[in-house]
Amino acid sequence: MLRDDGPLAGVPAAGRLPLPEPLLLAAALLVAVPGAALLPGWLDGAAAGTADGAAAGAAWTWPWAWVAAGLVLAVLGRFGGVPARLAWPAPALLRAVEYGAVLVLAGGSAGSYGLLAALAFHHYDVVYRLQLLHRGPPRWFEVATGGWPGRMVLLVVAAASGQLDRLVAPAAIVLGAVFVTESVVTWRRAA
Amino acid sequence: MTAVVLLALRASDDGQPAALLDHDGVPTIARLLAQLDAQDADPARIVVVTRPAWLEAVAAAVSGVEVRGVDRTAALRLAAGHDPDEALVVLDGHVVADEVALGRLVDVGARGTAAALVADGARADGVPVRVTRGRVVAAGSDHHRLAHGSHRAPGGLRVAAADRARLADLVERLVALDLPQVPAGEDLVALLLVGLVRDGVPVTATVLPAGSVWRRVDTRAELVDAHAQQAAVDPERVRLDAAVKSDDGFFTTFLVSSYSRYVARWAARRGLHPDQVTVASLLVGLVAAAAFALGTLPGMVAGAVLLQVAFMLDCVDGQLARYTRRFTVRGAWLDSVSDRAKEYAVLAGLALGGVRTDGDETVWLLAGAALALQTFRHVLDLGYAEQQRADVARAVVRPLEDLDDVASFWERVPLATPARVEPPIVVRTSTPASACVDAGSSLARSAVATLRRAEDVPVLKWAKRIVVLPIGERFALISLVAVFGSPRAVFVALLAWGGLATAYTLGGRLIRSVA
Repeated sequence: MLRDDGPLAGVPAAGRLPLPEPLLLAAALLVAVPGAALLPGWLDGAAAGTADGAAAGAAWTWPWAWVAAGLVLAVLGRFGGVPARLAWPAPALLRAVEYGAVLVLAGGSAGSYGLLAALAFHHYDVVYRLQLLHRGPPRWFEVATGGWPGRMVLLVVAAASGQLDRLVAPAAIVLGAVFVTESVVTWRRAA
Repeated sequence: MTAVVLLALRASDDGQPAALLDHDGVPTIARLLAQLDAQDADPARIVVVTRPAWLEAVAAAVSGVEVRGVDRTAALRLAAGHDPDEALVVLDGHVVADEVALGRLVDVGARGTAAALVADGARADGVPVRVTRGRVVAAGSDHHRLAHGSHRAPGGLRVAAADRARLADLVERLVALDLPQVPAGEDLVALLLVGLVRDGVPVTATVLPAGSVWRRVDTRAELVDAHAQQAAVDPERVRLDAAVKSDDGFFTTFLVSSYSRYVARWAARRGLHPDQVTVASLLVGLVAAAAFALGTLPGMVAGAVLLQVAFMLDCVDGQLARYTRRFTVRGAWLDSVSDRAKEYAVLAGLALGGVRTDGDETVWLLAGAALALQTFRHVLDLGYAEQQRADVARAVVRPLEDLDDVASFWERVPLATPARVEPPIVVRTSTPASACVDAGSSLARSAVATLRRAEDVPVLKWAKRIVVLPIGERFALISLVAVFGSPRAVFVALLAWGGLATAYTLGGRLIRSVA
């Protein structure tokens, strides 16, 4: 619930891979955020310096490709083993991957800040709800809003098709409205 | 509906009931009953339990309540109360307490099982108990030995209606244990507390406000001393001081709470509700964000000042709720959400102001990074706290019959007093790898011990709290750097200090996980 897994939430998965989840998530974070921010530039520069520049424009120069790779690692992480005493950083790492990906791919505009604020509102609201009401949002809602896997897939697709800058602000408004409405409705009913 | 059981089983040094020692002609137990009456306790639901030999004397001293003179077994059963559908308060009849302390335990609004506790110290009275994450995890009694206590339980217990059935069961088990008699009078409250804790019932640690009085008195000299202590206490002062959280950051504690408590009291007198103060704080915060968005220096100054006002009001709403003992779930949610809304609105305002002054949109990237970092830290902290709570709840509970209790190795959470954690004795064949792990582990343990000892040195204790950049320090940083620097500088400062704080906290937690 805290993890906001969306469609992955119901899947019984822990322990299928021999690798520990925190490790995979940390790797996902490194690839998706500093990786996507820095590596395309370096590799592009390195390629241009060597051969005929034909390598420029290849997949590794696209930040969204690195974010996609990070996303794959994060999803794999969901299927990794979880050593009991190291399970606590997982939700935070998932937040870092998602928010970091938004910053890398769409950062530098009011719209991307708005998107982050909408996501942060929902994530904080879920935490406080769990602490105070001992229940989270309904499962269908979590799936419908995508969870981190769903939203990140949309993010990568939008970035790949070049539409991300146009879509960020509307997405922030829509998502923000949806999250706030659901929260208010729940709290009205609970109070 | 709360039932109250008063135990007058303790003998004073002259063999008479300690509860009948009188001060100014009023026996202790009569005074206690009057205080309970002032707390709106229903006399029909109060039972005084005493020894058969003292029945007449005690019945004469109290009026209007039922008195029973019974032996120890029946006393235990009576202490568990009759009607299982109501909450129960069990008190020692020879307690001298002020109304603030008593009110905490008898608090009709509170739910859940709780034990009244005082901090361990020279003057502290009662059996030692160990508290972790707000819960009593171990307790001693006249028969159960406890090592490494953090607080003391001076004879006050509240049992929620939901836990009454378990209380009745464990009383039968206590009776079956046939523990040796204690001539001077047994501490039955402690025995019940041990029973509840050993049965796995979550017992909240209700630590009585510092400066309030709660003492059990069994000699005349102590009685005089206790009343002198009580006379010196200003209940209003105690209630006001207790309204302030003791674990806040440096900036909050010294630069805000020192005066915000008076604002809280003023608000209480005006009949304001904590939620109203929360909303006011949010509105002022939003105006601060708008001021920052202007981008001009006057805008920065106005925003900085308004932000501090908003923060002060935010401290007030919590203090008001604690002062008036009015807690609501919705209020807690509103408080937390409005904190986040203020902070992230202010960051947006600063970014807008930054774009207005130099037209560079990349400042939004820095703002977003600051938001992301802060959220990351919060979720990290919350995940860690959840795991610790789960650890405490899942802990292996020693059976009631076990009269010994040593700090067990699973307790990785810090104890209130620095204690030497004894590792389990394990016979292992030693390999180079395991030797490395052992060396690292013992190094980690000494690091943890050093960090804990630092809590005793005030400068280090506050330094630790400042490093982690709590909300007070964050808002102060934003205000200062906005005025003397620029929006961009604010974000850089938040990211730099926040990054350091994250590394510090993570490092500490990782060390503790391997200790």
